[in-house]
Amino acid sequence: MPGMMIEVRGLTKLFHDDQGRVQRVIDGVDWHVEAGAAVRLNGPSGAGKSTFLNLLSGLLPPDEGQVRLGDTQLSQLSEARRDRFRAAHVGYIFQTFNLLTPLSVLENLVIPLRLAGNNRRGLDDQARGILERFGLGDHAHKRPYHLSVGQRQRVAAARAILMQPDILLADEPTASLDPDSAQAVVEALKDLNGQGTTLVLASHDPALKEFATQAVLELGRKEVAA
Amino acid sequence: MKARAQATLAWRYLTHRRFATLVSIAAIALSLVFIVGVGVVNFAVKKTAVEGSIRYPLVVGPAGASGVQVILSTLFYIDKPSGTIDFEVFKELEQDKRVISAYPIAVADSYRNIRIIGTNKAFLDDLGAGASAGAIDLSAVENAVIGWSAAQRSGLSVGDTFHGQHGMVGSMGAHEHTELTYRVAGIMNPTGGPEDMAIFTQYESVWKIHAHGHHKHGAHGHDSHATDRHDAHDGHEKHDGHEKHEGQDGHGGHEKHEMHAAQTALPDHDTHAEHDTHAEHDAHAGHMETDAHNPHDTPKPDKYTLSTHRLTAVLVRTSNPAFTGMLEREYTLRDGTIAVDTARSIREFVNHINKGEIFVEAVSSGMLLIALAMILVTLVMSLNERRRELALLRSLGVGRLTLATTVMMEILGLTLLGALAGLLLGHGLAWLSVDWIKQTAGVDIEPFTVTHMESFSFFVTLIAGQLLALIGMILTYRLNVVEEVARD
Repeated sequence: MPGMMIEVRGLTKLFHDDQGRVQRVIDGVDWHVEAGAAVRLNGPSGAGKSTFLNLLSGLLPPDEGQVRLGDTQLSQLSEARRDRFRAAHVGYIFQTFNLLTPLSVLENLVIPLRLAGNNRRGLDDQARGILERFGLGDHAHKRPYHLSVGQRQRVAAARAILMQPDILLADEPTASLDPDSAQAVVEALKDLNGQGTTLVLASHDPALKEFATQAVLELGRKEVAA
Repeated sequence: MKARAQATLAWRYLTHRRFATLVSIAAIALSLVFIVGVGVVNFAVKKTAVEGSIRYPLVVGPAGASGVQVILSTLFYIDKPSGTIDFEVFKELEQDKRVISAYPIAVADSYRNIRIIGTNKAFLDDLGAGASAGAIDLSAVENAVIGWSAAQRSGLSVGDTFHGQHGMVGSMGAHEHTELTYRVAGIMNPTGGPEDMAIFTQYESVWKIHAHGHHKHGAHGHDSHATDRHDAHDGHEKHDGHEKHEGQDGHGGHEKHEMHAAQTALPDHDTHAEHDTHAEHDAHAGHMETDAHNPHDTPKPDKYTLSTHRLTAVLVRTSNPAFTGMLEREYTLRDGTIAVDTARSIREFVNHINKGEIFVEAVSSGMLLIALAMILVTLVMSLNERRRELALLRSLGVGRLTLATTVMMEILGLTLLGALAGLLLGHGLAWLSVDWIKQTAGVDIEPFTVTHMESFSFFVTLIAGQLLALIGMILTYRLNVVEEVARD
């Protein structure tokens, strides 16, 4: 995993509220992140952190500005190509709801990657190995609703590691976790970053704040602190 | 690998919503079960009917009966015979040069709801079944030869004895005939035809029983006929053609025992009513009237009764199809008989069946539409429920088209499972019903017969499922799930 540089120029996203008023959730943001860095998004709830992550991943198209990941200009790609790019380079961990309920823990690691076109050989064995490392080996065939919140979040982190992304976007990955589970997730993220993955974290967790200090983007105030 | 992952995810979603999946499968299956069941039975009925029409192109029965009724009662041994014909008709046909063979059929009694058919050995030889036990032997008046299924159902074996019962179990007037004890002389090999579920005796034995009058009217408490009168009657049994002297005083005690036959509504037997002045039959006639006036009695009166020198029908094989037409006209124009061109009646019968099939097809199509609508509603609800999961997959790089085709696979799987379950269930139920259908309809069904209607319905179901899957695919493709993950 070589990691991937992130370049954001004039990024703007508008949302329409129920009354039809336009809100500039992301307003002309410029930002640069070096490949392999661990960076953080700051801002109060509603400041647009999740929206910004979705713009970085290409899930949401910007209204203005551009996102460049490595050598790829996301805005120049079609939706299908953005999907394929994301599948190949970008990992995602959400605060909650990271798993598919009908699938077992092991399947939650492997099947989304297969669906995204990942044909890597031995994916099942690698997934089992990672689950063992995360202390989830005995839960491989359980359904997500049989796991605690912390265990579910560790499964999401395990999937991100299995995916070996160049960029990992994590939206409050340790929120609502007990200290031990939070620590396990932080360790996993550090491990991934240590292997070269560029980390972009939206988190209030002090442990992550200490770790992801290379570039902090303050949202909601249009100020960039580096 | 991707297709396999899609199939796994589709299957997991189906099993995750077990109840909805099972209900959807059951709804589709049910619509096909009817088509399979009706198709299998109708196919067998048509086949048996056509085979019967080829074997015996002409059936001479009592005037007043419909062609289909005559066919059902004489070829299938179901439905009640509607009257009788004179034995002389058989004798004439047997000697007619245009006729290759003629066989007498005298349907009257039953044993454990299995029809006892009075006939002759030539008819059994013509069936060509051969004996699986004992012998095809009707040389003695008490001899009975039993069809394969009848033997299985009744438990009778060679050497066993039994009494016939007048009518069928549950019919009004049903009572045991103790006048003659039958002895099983042989059991036929299975033929797959209606004869499998029948008991064959001499027609003379049927006459003998009914010439003796009715004993043990258990259902009515009606032990009316005295033994000494039977002796007197026995003396009249060999009066060939005595029926032609209806109303003549000289037939006294003999005629009065044929009162039951007079109640079969046969026009040529109306004169039997004149004998109702006899004390014994007055009592019996009064009894029947009482029954007929009691609307609370559920069983229907079994008015049909056979008597000496009467037959239900004669099966005829001619040497030339032209002769079949000639004989049909001749015997239809005669008083007291109707000649039925078997092939024509079978066509009428098959037309009735086809109408029934169309009705069942329409009902089943309606059920299928309801089932598919239900699946569509369930799908829309399910897509709403899994918006976040679809959004998660999108965030991991799974394309819209992949998700849409996964949902399509899910619906296709559902309809395929429903259709297969319908076929399996339909044929399984048909297999389980083989004996019951044989007993009730006299038809030997082949439970795993695949009819054209079944194949057509199966593919229509799959095509309808494919259309539904396309709708599901389009709905999924158009679903904007990104907002689910864009919430801040």
